[in-house]
Amino acid sequence: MSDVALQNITKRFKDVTALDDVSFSIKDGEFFVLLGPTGAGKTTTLRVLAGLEKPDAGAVLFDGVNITDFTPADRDVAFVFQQYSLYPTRTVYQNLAFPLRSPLRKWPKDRIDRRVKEVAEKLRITHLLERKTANLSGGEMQRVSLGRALVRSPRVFLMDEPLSNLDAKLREALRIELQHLQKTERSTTLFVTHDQVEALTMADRIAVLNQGRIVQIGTPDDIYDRPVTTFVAQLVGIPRINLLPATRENGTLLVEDSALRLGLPEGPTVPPRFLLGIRPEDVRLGAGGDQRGEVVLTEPLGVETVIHIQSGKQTVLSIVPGITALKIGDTISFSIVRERLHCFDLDGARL
Amino acid sequence: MATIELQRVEKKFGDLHAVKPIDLTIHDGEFVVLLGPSGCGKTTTLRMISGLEAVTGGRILLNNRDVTWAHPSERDIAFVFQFFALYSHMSVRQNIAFPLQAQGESRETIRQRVAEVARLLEIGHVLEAKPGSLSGGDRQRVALARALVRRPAAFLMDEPLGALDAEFRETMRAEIKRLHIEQHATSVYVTHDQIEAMAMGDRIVVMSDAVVQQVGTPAQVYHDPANLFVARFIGSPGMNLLTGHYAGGTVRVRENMTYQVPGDWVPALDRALDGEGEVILGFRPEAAAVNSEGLPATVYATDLLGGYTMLHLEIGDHEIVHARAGRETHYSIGTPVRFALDPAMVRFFDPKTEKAIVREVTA
Amino acid sequence: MFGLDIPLPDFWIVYFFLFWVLVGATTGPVIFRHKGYPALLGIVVGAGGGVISGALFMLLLVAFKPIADLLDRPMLGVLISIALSAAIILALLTFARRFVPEAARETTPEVAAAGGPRAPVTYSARVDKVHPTWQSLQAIRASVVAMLAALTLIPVIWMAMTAFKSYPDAVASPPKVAFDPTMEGVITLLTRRRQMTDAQKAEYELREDLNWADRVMLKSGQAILGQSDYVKRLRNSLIIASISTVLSVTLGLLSAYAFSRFRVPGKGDLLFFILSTRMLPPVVVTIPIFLMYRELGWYDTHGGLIALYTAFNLSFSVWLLKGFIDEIPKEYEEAALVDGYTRLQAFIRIVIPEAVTGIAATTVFCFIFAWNEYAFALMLTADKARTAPPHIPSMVGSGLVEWAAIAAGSLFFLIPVVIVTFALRKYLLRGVTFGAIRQG
Repeated sequence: MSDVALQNITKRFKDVTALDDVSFSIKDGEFFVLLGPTGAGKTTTLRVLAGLEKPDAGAVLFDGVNITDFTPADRDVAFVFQQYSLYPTRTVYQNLAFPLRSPLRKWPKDRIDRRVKEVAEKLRITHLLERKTANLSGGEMQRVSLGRALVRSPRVFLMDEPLSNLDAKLREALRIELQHLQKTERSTTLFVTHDQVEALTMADRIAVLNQGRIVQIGTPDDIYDRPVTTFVAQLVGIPRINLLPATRENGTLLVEDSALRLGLPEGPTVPPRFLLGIRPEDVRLGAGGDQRGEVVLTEPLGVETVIHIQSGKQTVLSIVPGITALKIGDTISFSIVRERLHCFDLDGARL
Repeated sequence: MATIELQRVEKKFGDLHAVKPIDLTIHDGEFVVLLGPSGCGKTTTLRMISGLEAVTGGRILLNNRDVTWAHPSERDIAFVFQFFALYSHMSVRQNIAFPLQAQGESRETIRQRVAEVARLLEIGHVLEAKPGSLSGGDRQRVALARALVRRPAAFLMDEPLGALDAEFRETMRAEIKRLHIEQHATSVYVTHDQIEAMAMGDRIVVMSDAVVQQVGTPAQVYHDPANLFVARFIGSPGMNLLTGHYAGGTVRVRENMTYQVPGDWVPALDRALDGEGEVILGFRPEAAAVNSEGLPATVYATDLLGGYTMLHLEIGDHEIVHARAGRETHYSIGTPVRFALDPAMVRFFDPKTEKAIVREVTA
Repeated sequence: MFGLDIPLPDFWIVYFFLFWVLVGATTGPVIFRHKGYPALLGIVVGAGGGVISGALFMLLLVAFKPIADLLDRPMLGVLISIALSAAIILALLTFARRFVPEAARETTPEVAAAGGPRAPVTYSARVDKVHPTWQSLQAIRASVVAMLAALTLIPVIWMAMTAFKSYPDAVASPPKVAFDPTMEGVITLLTRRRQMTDAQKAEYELREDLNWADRVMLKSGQAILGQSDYVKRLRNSLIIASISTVLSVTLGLLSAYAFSRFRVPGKGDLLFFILSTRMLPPVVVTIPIFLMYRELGWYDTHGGLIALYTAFNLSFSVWLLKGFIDEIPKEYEEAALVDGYTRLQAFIRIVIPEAVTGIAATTVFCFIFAWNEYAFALMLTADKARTAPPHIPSMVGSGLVEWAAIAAGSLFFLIPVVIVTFALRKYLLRGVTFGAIRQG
């Protein structure tokens, strides 16, 4: 396993800049997640790391060695694609053995056989070894894709949204397994996704990517509790963070177009007009609250319920455990936890 | 607007039973969700209601009118597709106006209705653009506008949020629900995402393998699942299900793991299992509290989500139990822990019938 | 026919009669199935209805003839007769079920009451596509297609028959459908013969070592001298067509892969240029090429024709294969690259197996073109490298034209291509539609 570092990588496709001065490093054994919306440049980053794309500027280093000019074969990385990674006319065994049969390796047959069976055992697909991959279910196919990567013991695992095409239930189950595998094997992994639940649950550290630029790098806690821009704040958290335009008047905070008034939070000074970020779990419903609003929608999710509260023209989302007795049209009082307010300037940067 | 009634509606493809006979009544203004994994028959059922698929047996009634063999255009329903099905060579305005033109409405009426609907869905600013240049969310709004403009008796939606990015899905979900409430529209919505179903449905029809597993409100399917499938499918993650041997008021799950059955469940279990037998113990992650007493387990993985932590505990042999804990909880893999269950939230199932064991309500 | 004065040639009488029977036999089961009866019953009743309709059609033709003659519009009678007999056959089918006993019915009462088909619709169909009328129209359409296909095959069948006719039968007018087959034509094709005088013939008859072929030709007084050039020509055709096909497919495959995967400067222009070679009729350039070949000394050589056919097939081959390779996700090769394979190895181990259907389709098309090519073969070959297409018509000499031999020559020429095409027909459909329609 290796340390990986990207330094000032820029990549252009005709007139589109896919990656703009991207730099980050991954420690040996770390599960690093690249999070961002579609088109942010996540897949391009992976492909530059793998050697399938050549960067226009910048360098890629493995353990301090510049490998920017190395071919994919010489980099010794394993790539798990989002789809089309298995050869449909071959059996699972042949798919798993394929990476080991490459001329670079020259492994004897029985060694290949042992390794394939070992990995199949770990991923619990031993019973599928003789089946053609076209006859597998989605979850089984993805396990075989993971197996193909595992079979080689490469320096780095590169995974391109491997769980995106699966059913919600399957995604959950495979995610937990992947987490457990990575933590026990201590493999250096770069995992790309647009799903923030995947990012938050699996990552040791996350890099948020938007339109080819790194916005923030940090642990899941950092990203969740201290987002540096409104973009990052809105990216993580279910349900989404409430982002409300606000003004400062003397010592109080007023949310525009609504009846919400709050005391100023401690910390940096706040300009006259700014954006206020409140996480739904910090909107506490209860009789003692100093704010008032009307319930316009309730979304029962079973374990908790999302309440949409309207005050003036603004809607605030709150989340309460269990099923609620509140109905649409009810007036309720609530309070907002002052210590956990996020303030951003009008451009979206954290104050 | 409309009541839809399905009487023993079924669909066979040759010998394959795609949808086994369904009886369902959708009331006026209700938002009913057909929920299930791929291949369970939910989309086929929706298509039969719309007329895009001919039934093999049964009747479909719309406002008490038999529409089983009526042409799709005669059923007064609007269909919203997963992949939007917008005409890429026409502008947004023309797309929305299309159904009205097909019905032969006057130009003035069309212009008015398009403006009305565009205002409702806040797409007035893209009326002259082509669908190809719009974001996924906007495209789905145009598809909804096209459905709304006809003022049909019912809306049929086939996984409309499936093709959208995660961030759009949440906002569009609330938008669709609010639209439904404002319009008092009868809607039938198909999805495989149980979170969507729970958030939006007035009632949920859980289907699997061509059969209806349970029909109920979100609260009912969540807290009182009728069988093991519903228990596993609803909730993320699904209900924890442990198989054990019931005898004398306790369930023995493993050698070192015995659970004391709450008093009010004992009579029901005695009756259902004839005193003793195999039983499945079910509980949701929020019912399990990790502390110093209770059933033993080892930490397998931890999910540190923003508002809470989800612990995945291994109780031996690859069997995982999910427990919900506070944000500040941090355990490393391999730590031995114990967890206790909230007695009000446990449920029991008969392993042979896979159905829930019902506890009689004592007055 | 049948002693009636039907104003149609015999062939057409039989043809239309069969057509009505086919229409009845295909729409009958459709209607019967929807009314809830077994399909087999429908076929029988439908065919019976078709026979009755066909007979009525003939009678109507006879009846309308005087009117048609009067109006001096011969086809009028035919058209009216067709329309009337169509109406009669549909009426027959609709009323036929009244004569079937109750016991033969399979029906579901709920479905029947609602106004839909009496039998369950156990296939995927929109509600308006399930009505028996619509389905019957589809069946009639299929019958029309089948009969048109049969019509198209008649020249080929006739040619095959002619190959085994004796000369008088071959040139008989009106054409003979029933005849005594003989191998005369085949032997004439494959051998060189000498016409014998009566005296030589008498002597020849007494020889002991005559084989069956000798005896056949003896009847017309010819002695067999040896093999004709035909077999040699056929062999040339095989060699040249096969080698040029292999070359054009191989080179095409490699080029198509490059065009598909690599960033080639001026790719669009190059592809268009390759396509443009297909835009002119090859015949147009025969003279310049003839002059070039003569200068190069390639006239009448196998290599010359092979090079030419390869060049012409290459454009088609590159375009068709590029389409197929574009469909193969490039992730397949990238996974191999990451695993340590070189691009060539990835190409051989992954792309070629996945593109097999495309390669098969391309092979068939290239082979057919090279096999059938006439103009260049005629202009650029004399004797050594001459292929079959220019050779066969050359047997049309002055004086007696050996029709049976020509037919036999064409038949043997046809057989290899028919076999190859039939064996690979699955891949052909994909090739023709560029993979857009998935078949089998």
